[in-house]
Amino acid sequence: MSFARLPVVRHPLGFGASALALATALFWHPAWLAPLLLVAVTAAWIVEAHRLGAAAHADAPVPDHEPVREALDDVRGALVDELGHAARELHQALDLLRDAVSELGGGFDGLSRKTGQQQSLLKQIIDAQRDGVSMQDFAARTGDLLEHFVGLIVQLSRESLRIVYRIDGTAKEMDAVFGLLRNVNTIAEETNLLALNAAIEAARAGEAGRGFAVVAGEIRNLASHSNQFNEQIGSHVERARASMEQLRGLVGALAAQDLNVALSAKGGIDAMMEHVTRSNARASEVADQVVEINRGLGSDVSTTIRSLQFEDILSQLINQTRTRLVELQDITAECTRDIETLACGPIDAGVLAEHAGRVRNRLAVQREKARLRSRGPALQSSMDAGEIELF
Amino acid sequence: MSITAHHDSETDCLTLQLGERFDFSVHRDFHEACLGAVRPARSYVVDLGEVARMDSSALGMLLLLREHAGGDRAEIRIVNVDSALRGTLRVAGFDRLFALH
Repeated sequence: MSFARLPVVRHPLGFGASALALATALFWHPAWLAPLLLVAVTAAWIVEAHRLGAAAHADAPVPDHEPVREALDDVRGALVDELGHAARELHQALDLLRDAVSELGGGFDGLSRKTGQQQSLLKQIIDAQRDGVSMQDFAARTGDLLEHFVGLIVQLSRESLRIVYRIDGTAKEMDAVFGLLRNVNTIAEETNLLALNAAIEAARAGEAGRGFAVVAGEIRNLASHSNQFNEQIGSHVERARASMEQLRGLVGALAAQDLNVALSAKGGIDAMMEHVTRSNARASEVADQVVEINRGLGSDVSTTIRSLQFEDILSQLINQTRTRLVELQDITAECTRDIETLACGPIDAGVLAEHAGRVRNRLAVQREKARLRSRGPALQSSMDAGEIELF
Repeated sequence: MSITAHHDSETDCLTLQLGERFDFSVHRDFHEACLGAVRPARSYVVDLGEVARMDSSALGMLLLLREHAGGDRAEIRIVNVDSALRGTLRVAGFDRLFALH
């Protein structure tokens, strides 16, 4: 047991003051002395206690704070660097997002414009089809024309037949003339015979019949002339008959027209009409469908463009996160510095409380900032809000 | 003769039975059978049941018969018309001028 462990030696001021107070009280005892002594002894003990505490501190070995400081520096550096990296990466992401969204928006705007152009072109085609001469009209007019044409042919046939019947009638008359000419021929032959008989009789009469013989010769000449005329007339009539027969053939050819061409043309027109009607109906159906599809496409594009508003919301969120990270950088730096001071400096209740208070204050300020930010007006929570007007 | 005519004296109805051809080659027979008559019959029946070939002169003959029988007052029935002949008669507008059966 060492000498220093004795209480009297360790607390000389306290014990000294107590002993002095005891001696004073023994030899001098006025009434006010007791409280005064009590106060003095207590003060001495308090001073002693303080002194001893200070001595103990002074006596304790001084710890090495360097590793702690270095570790805390490392922690601070690493955290601040990481937070800085994160903030820069967020900034990059934001740039990429803006570029991509702007390109997407441009693409969809183009799509929307082209869809509109497509629709207006289609409308022009449909209008042109409705306003212009339709195939149906054309086919109907062609059908009318064909019927008119067939009517003309039939009238031509009727008139040709009428002429043919007339020619037939005339031919009958000609045949009658032919018959009459044969009669005239007979008369001429008989006259010739008569003249021959007269000549014979004149010869038999001799000189007296000489004059009669001359007359008989003249009559024979007449008969012969008559015969010649008869033959001429006959040949003319025959030629006229042949001409009329030719005419009959020509007019008959006019009358006999093949109607099969017109008939098959009519069938073709009917088939065309049916086809045109069907294809018109189909075209109009398809046009309606295309218009409907275009309308749907326009609506899709508008929805998509509206969806691209997510960029705004996302930008706001990223910016806010960046701000948080930058603030976190500052807080991290300050807080680690405070912790370092606490860890490395002498332990003092006042300093301790002051540093803790500062750290808590900073965090409270940060919390308040975050609260205000979350109540900020710009932050949109849903993309359905708001309409996009397409031009 | 390529046309057979039958006159029903009771009803004064003349029935014309055409042969295989009803074209220009029968125009004389047609004339003899009906057009040549001084007085037209009261009504006519034209039977095309056997006809396989017909040209525009047949239509001309029918029109002349219509004229002969009194034009719009004529009473002419065309019977036993097959679909091809009906098509020809329709194209010529004969369905408006004659009773087709």
